[in-house]
This record gives sequence, structure tokens and C-alpha cells, in this order.
Amino acid sequence: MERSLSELVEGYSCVAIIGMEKNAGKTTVLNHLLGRRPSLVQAITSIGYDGEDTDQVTGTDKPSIYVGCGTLVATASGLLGQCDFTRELLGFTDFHTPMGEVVIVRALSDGFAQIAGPSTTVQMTALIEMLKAAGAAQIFIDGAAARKSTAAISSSDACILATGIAFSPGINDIVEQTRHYADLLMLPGFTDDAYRCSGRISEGLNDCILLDDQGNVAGQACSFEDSCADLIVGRSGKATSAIFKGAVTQRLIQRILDKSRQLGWLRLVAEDGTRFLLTSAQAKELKVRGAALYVMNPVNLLAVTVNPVSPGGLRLDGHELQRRVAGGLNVPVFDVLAANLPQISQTRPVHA
Amino acid sequence: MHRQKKYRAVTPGVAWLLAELQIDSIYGREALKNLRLARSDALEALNCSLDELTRVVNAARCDTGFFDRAAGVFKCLRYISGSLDNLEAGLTPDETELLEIKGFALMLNSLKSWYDESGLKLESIDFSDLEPVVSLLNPDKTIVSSFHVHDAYSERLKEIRAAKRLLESEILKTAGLERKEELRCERARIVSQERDEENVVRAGLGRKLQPWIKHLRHNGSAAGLFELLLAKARVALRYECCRPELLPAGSGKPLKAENMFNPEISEILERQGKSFTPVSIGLEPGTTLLTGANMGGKTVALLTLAMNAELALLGFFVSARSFTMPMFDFIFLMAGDGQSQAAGLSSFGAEIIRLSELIALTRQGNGLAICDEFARSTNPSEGSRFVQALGEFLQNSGSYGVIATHYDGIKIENAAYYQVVGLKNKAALPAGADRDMLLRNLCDNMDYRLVRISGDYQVPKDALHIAGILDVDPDFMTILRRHYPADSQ
Repeated sequence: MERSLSELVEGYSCVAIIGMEKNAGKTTVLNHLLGRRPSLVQAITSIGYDGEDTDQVTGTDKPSIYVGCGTLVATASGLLGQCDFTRELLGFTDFHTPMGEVVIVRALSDGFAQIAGPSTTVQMTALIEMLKAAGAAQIFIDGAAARKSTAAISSSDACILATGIAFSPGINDIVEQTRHYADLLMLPGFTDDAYRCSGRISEGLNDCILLDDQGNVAGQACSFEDSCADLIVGRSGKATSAIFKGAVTQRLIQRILDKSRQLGWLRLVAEDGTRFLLTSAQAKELKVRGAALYVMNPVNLLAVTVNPVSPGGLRLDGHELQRRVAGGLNVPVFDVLAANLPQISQTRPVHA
Repeated sequence: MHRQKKYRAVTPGVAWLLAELQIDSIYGREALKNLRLARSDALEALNCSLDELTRVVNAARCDTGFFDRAAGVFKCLRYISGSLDNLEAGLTPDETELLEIKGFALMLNSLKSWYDESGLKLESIDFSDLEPVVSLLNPDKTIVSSFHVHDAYSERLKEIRAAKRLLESEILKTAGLERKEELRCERARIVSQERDEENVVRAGLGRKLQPWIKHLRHNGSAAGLFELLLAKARVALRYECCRPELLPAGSGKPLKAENMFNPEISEILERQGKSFTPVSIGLEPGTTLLTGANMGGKTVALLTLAMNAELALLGFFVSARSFTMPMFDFIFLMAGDGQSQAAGLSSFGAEIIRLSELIALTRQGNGLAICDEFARSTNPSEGSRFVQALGEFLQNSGSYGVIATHYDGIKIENAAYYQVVGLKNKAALPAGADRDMLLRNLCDNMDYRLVRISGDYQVPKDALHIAGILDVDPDFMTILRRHYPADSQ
């Protein structure tokens, strides 16, 4: 029997929900997961603030997060006035956002929540510890849009990828991009002991180091300079791992592709899948030519969700979208509007 | 509020110590910022604060966990000045402000009870009891550190919330979308009522807190002073400091310092496996001249003296076995600080500007003036005249002046003369080793102690010898030796 989304997250203490784009249905997924386990103290926070209310522009409802009584919420003090649940303030975090310091509150009734959390990995990791100390058994992170989701991914132990028609009106495009992104998230871990033993070697602007098959440093470069790609291509034919501290850019990959035919000798390693900023065409080409992609911190992708409705009112066949995205992915795919993921009715709180 | 400028240390040793102080709270940092040298007429007040420091030091000596117990409070103490300003301005406090005030009151109460139990009973530090503030913000029997606008504050609030809860469970049970939407609209109306009533409650709490604002502020400052005092005690214990004995200003009594240390330099030496040679000196009012071999530690001796004098006037214990000092109006240190080029001055120009500052200070009162190799940057024949003049000037100024110099023939009537003992055994130093070995050998053979000598002194001529020890090129040494009279080698 197929497992439901809420069954899938069982046993994970911290789950990040990241979206391919805004209106990908992240909030609907969160609302589905929150309150499914009344016996469990759940907590919610977010990476930064997803503050641009698209509903103001498109006229559609942008769903608010609806928390149940007892849920812990970590949000900016400036947004407390927009939360309509009765609450108890548990403490300060010392993490400051443009909307005030992040505070931890306990909901004493059900209600809508506006959430803005810290935006760095270090702070998010510390906040998760604070929430656990406050009694949270399961924490959800509203992980912002894909490219900004690094902090969410690095501090959680599992994640859900939300995609939908808001990302692109063409079903082929959605399918292609979502699969590409999911593939990146699921890249295997780089477990080269030689590298782990040699420790992180990075001097100044040099955020890329090259290791030979013995784990010896074969070169260092700054990934933002073209010379980095040249240095990598210069190793042609000799087994090489290029390890990046930051982003692996399209420009860098294109230069490597332009200069070298066979790449069977090359392994590209980034911190996690969100750091590979390549196009799906580039990813395919790398694969065809034999280059392998790895990450230092593998991500546990539990599921992909699809939202067949756009803020502009466009609607695709949910079942079809779900089926197409699922093809070739080895994680379950859910339709956020389907019966197993009921949407919560959207009456916004009346503000005083 | 008028904010004072941060205290700027006169000596590098004090600047280093202040930077090393363990101060965690903003209140403690404020107290540190407001640190000032005691005025010369404030002997009694300074003695009182040294009495208090003595009590804290003694208490900490007997109890190893003494500092840890308070440190927990200071680490978590939030600076609530902004919330109190808003309250004072009559604004309705929001939830976070009330949580902040409650947390502060709880912290300060735990600090107060620890302080009361410690039996320190310091005059400068008394904490107001903030129990009523805690009770006001914690209507429940069990004291919790969280805050919420409790039902107990208002019967109406209680009713509104009961209605809200009822609706919420009804919404959960209702299946029909239309009916659900109706209930949600009803809930939104009640939420707005709840918000209004919470506002009324918070405004009421704000009014009740008004009389406590001054106590909350007072406790914040007291906590800051206490943290600074604890930090001073920690320094006293860590560097085995002693309480300075202070004499009234203008008594003409000598400054006597026995076995002074310099914590900053000691730590550097310790890391190199060496140890600091304690410095002792006695100063009468007037001029004291200090001479000695190069690398003999004259500068360190002067810096150590100035640092300890500054520490004493800041109400710290001093790093010495014993230290007696009259109250001073100023402490002045001139020791080539490298600022001259940045200010567009030559080294000599900078020295002359500092000289004018010193003279102005001596006109206003009596102080401790320490000048390391004054006028070193001009030609020796004029430089020695400047030193002679400064020595004569300070001798009659009523201040206590120390001038370190390499110049011969400075003669000042009734002035005291000190010399660094210097190289112990000039023959024992081998040549030909590497630089580190040479330096280590030199340091090992240098006697850094100061000895008092008669006025007919000869500035030690160790420069040639030291250059030899440091293995300067033999060709150069041959040329150099040609310029020395045969009997001086």
C-alpha cells in the first residue's frame, strides 16, 4: 500500500519543505503535515520570510500556515501581530531579521501564523536545537524557493520538494526542471577517505581544490575565474575530483564542456545539490561525457509534491502532472490538491 | 541620555587587560565604558571600592565556583533599556517587551538572591527586589520564564478565548464548506475581539509597571557594576595582584613598587618559555633618571610602572608584591607610539607636542610622568640638552617624573638615578649560533633588575658588545671597533 505524505515524514525530527518557485504549494504541504499527529509536539519555522504576498497581485489566496494548539512557532517578533492564535512567548533567540528578532512561541489555540525565521545555516541549526530544547519532537522548515534553500537543506534531516504550474505553465518544462532539480538533490555522497583525511584546504579566494586519485592536492583555484575551468580541463585524462566550497556555476561547467570531450576522469563535488547551478541540458551533457557529480552532504529527499493550479487561475490535470513528474523519479509524488492532501479553506484573519 | 565616551587607557598594559576582561552583559560593558581614573581628591572613595574588591577577592579565594554562578546570569542578561524607554514614554508594551521585562526581573532576582546569600554586602551594589514585577507578569502560581497575556488578567478575555476554542473545535468537526466558511468568519471576528482585549490588558500591565521602571534601570546598572567588580577580582586572582596602598595627594611621600609584573608581557614570555623579571623601584617627587644597556628592559620597566599606577587609580589591584602610591592628578606616558607619521609629524615633532601636553598637565596638578628615551630622535648633543631641561623642569614641578635615557652627563640636583643591572657575564656568550639562540642567550644573561646608583653615573656602553653577541658581520664589527677608544673594548 502506498504511504501517505504524513507517514513518510514519520521518524524524521526535522523536515524541510522547499519549493521550485513561489506558489508551488509549500504551504499546503505544511498545513497537511502540521496537526496530523496531535500527540507529537510539532514546531515550524522558515528560512527568512516569504513575504511577497502574490495574492495582492493576482487576486488569488496565498495560503497562510495554520497551526494547531500546542505547536511551537519560531517567527520574527514583528510578525506576531499577524498571527491570530492565542500564544505564550517562550523565549528569544538572538537571531535578528528585518522584521525583528526571532522568538519562540507556543500556540495555545489553533490559528494562522506568519513566519519569518533566520536565513543562515548556522542560525537555523542553532534554532533547531532551541526548538528541540523547548520540547519539539518534529520540526518543519518552510524552506523558501529552491536556490535559497541551502540553509534549510543543510540543517534538516529530510526534505520534500514542492513544484507546480506556477513554476512554468508548460507541463514538459515542469517535468524536466523538477526531475533535474530532484536529481541534483539526490546526488550521492562523496566518501573519498583521502579527502576527508586531508581536511578542508582552501586559501583565500580559492574555493575549489583538485585532488588526484591518491587524494593529493593537484591544484587550487577560484571558481569564479575562467582559469578554474582551465585548470580542471588541464587535468584531462587523469582521475580528478574537483571539490567546490560554494556554487558550481553554469559558466564554469559550460567552459569545461566547451574544452573537453571526454570527462570520464572528472568528479565534481559540491556541499549539496542546491550548489549545482547548472541547467538540465548541462547536467545531461556531463552525464553523457562520463563526469560524475557528488555532494559532501547528501540530502534525504522523501517526496515531490505538485500543485496543478497557478495563481493566475491556470489549471492542469493534477493526475497527469503527478504521473509525468513521477516517471523516472524514485521518490513518491503527491498532488497537493488531491483527496489525500486536502487543502485548508482560506479565510484570512481579520486584522485589528 | 547623555552617553560618556569609552575610557581610553593611558598605557598599553591596561588597554590589554581591559580587552581581556570577561564581561558578557551590555550592562557590564556600559560600566566598563564609564570607567574613569579616580580624581586625586577621591582617595576615600577609591579606598572604599578597593575595600569592596578585597571582599570579593577573598570570597572568590574561598569558593572555587564563585564566578561561575554569576556568569550564567550575565551571559543571558538582555539589555532592556529600549523596552523601558517605550514604557516610560507611555506606550503600551507589546508581548516581546513584557517577556523581556519578565525575563530580566527573574534574572536579576536570581542574581540578587545569590548576592544576598554570598554575604558580600557591598555598599556600591544593592539590588532592588523585583518580586512584584515577576508576580505581575506571572499571574499563575508556578513561576515560568515564558510570558503570555494570561486569562487571569481579564474575565472578558477568558470568555472570548473560550468562545474561540469552541468555534475552532466546531470548525474541525464541520464538513460543509459553506458552513465552515461561516464559522471561520465568526472566528475572525472573535480573534479581533481577543486582540482588542489583550491590548487593554497589556496597557494595564504597562501602567502597573510604571513605578518599577526606575528599579529595573537601577538593577541593570547595579548588575553592570557588579559584573565589572567580579571581572576586576578575576584579574586580581589570575595575575596574583595585590591591593595598592594609596596615600593622599600632595603628601610628598615616595611611590614604592616592589616586584611589579606586567601580565601582558609575562604571557608573551611564558609562551616563549621565558619568565618575567619583576621590577622594583622607588620614586620621590621630582625627577628619576633611568639608564641601562640596550635590550636591558628599560621600556618594559617603565611600561610596567605606568600600567600599575593606572590600574591603581582605576580601582584595580596591581600586579606587584607591594605597591604604595600617592594619589595623582594624571598619569602621563610618552613611549614612542608610532602615531607621529600618521599625524603628519616627524618623530621629534610628535615628541614635542606630547611635551607640551605634559607641561600643561603639570600646571594643573601633580602626576606621574613617564618618558621613555625622550628626545631620542634628534641629534645627541641637542637631545641631551632637552633631556636635561625636562629633568630640571620635572624636578621642580611637584610631579613624579621618570626619564629613561641613553644620554651621558645629565646632571639634575637631588634627582634619583637608576640603572638596569645589565649583562651578567659578558664572556659567557658564544658567537656563531643561530639568531634565536643568540637572542635567548642574551636574554638569559641579562639582569633586568633596576638598581639605584649615585649621580656620577656612566651610561653603560654595551651597544658594541651586544652587536657582537648578535653576530653582526665581522667586517662591519672591525670598522666599528676602529671608532672606539682602545680601552673601552
